[in-house]
Amino acid sequence: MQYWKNIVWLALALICSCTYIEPDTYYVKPVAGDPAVITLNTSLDTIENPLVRDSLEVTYGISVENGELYELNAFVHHQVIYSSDSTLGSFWIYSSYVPDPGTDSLLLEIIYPANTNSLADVLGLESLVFQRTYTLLFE
Amino acid sequence: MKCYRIKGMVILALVILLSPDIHGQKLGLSASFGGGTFRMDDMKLLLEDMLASYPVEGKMISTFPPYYSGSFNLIKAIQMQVYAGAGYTYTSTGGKLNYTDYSGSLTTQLSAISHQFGAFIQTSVLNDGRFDLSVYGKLNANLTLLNISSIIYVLGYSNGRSYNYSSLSPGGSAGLEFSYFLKEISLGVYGGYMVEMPASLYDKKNRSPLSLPSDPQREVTAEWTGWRVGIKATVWVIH
Repeated sequence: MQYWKNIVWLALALICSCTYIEPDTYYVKPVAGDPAVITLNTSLDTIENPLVRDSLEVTYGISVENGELYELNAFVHHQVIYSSDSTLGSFWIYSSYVPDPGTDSLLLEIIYPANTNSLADVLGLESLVFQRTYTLLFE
Repeated sequence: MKCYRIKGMVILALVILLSPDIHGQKLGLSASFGGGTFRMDDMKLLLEDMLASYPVEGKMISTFPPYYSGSFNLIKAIQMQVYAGAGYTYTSTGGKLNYTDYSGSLTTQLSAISHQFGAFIQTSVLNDGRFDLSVYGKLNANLTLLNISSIIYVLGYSNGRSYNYSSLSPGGSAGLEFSYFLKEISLGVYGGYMVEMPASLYDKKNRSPLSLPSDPQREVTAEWTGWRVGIKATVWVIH
C-alpha cells in the first residue's frame, strides 16, 4: 500500500516539472545610424552682449539632420523659462528672471535622438543633448 | 453541444470505473511521464502577428515545441485482457518572442497549459503473462488555459500586461503500449497520436474571443493534436 503514496508524490512531482519555461533571449548589438547634426540659429547670434532692459524677445530656428527635435529648453539663472518641441519659435526673457542686475547667461538645451537604433532609441527614450550659452546683460 | 459530449464522456468513465466488480480483477493506479508534439497552427500565426508589431526586429525564440506531459489514471480490468480507466493529463508548451539589447528588452510569452480529463479502453493483442502489447483508445475533454504576457524593460523602467484565455474542446487518441508485469506493479512504454477538435479561446474576464491582430474575424484556437510518447508505471492495488 505504500506504493499509493509514492505514486501520488511521483505524479505531483512529474506534473510540476511539466510546465513549459523558455529562458532563452535574443540579444542584439544594435548598429548605430548616422549621427544627427544640429543647427541652431537665434536672434541673439548677431547681437554682441544683448541687453535685457525690461524684456527681450528671442527667436530661434533649429534643424536636425538625420533625426527630429525632441525638445528645446531655455534656462536663465538655472530656471527653465521656455520649453518647446517646435523647430521654429520665440520666447521672451524678462529682467525679473534674475535677482540682481548684471551679467547672466541664457542656456539653450536641444534634446535630439541618439540614433543608436537600440530599443530605447526607437522608442524615443535615448537622446543626446546639444547646448549653447549666450551671455546677457540685465539692467 | 460540446458540453453535453464532455459530460457524457465523464459519466461513461464513472459508470465503467464504479460498476460492480463482476470479474473481481485488477484495479490499479498509474502515473506516466512523457512528451508530445503540438500542431498549434493558429498560435504560430498569432506569434507572427505579434512579432510584426514589434518596433524593433525581434525574434521567435520558441514556437510551441514538443514538451513534457504527465498523467495519472485509475485503471480497471473489465474483462480478461481488457482494461478501462479514467484519468488526468497535464501538458504544457509555449511560445516566446524577444528582443534584448543594452538599453532594455521586449518579451512576449505565450504559455499554454492543457488539463485533459478522459476515459480510455485498452486491450491486449499479445500477452505471455509477463509481457503485454496492447492497443488503447482514449476520449478526453481538454481544458486549455493560455496566458499571454508582454513586458518591456527600458532604461530601468518596466511595463507589462497579461491576458488569460481558456477553451474547452473534445479530443481523442489511440496508440500502442508495451508493458512488463511484476506482481504488484507494471512498467511500460507507450506511443500514440492525439487528435483534438480545435476550439476558440475566450478571454477569461470578458469572454471575448482571441483573434488575430491582422485578421480580427479569425478566432485563434489551441490545437494539441500531435504525437504522444512516454513511460508508465502502474501499481496494482487489487491484482
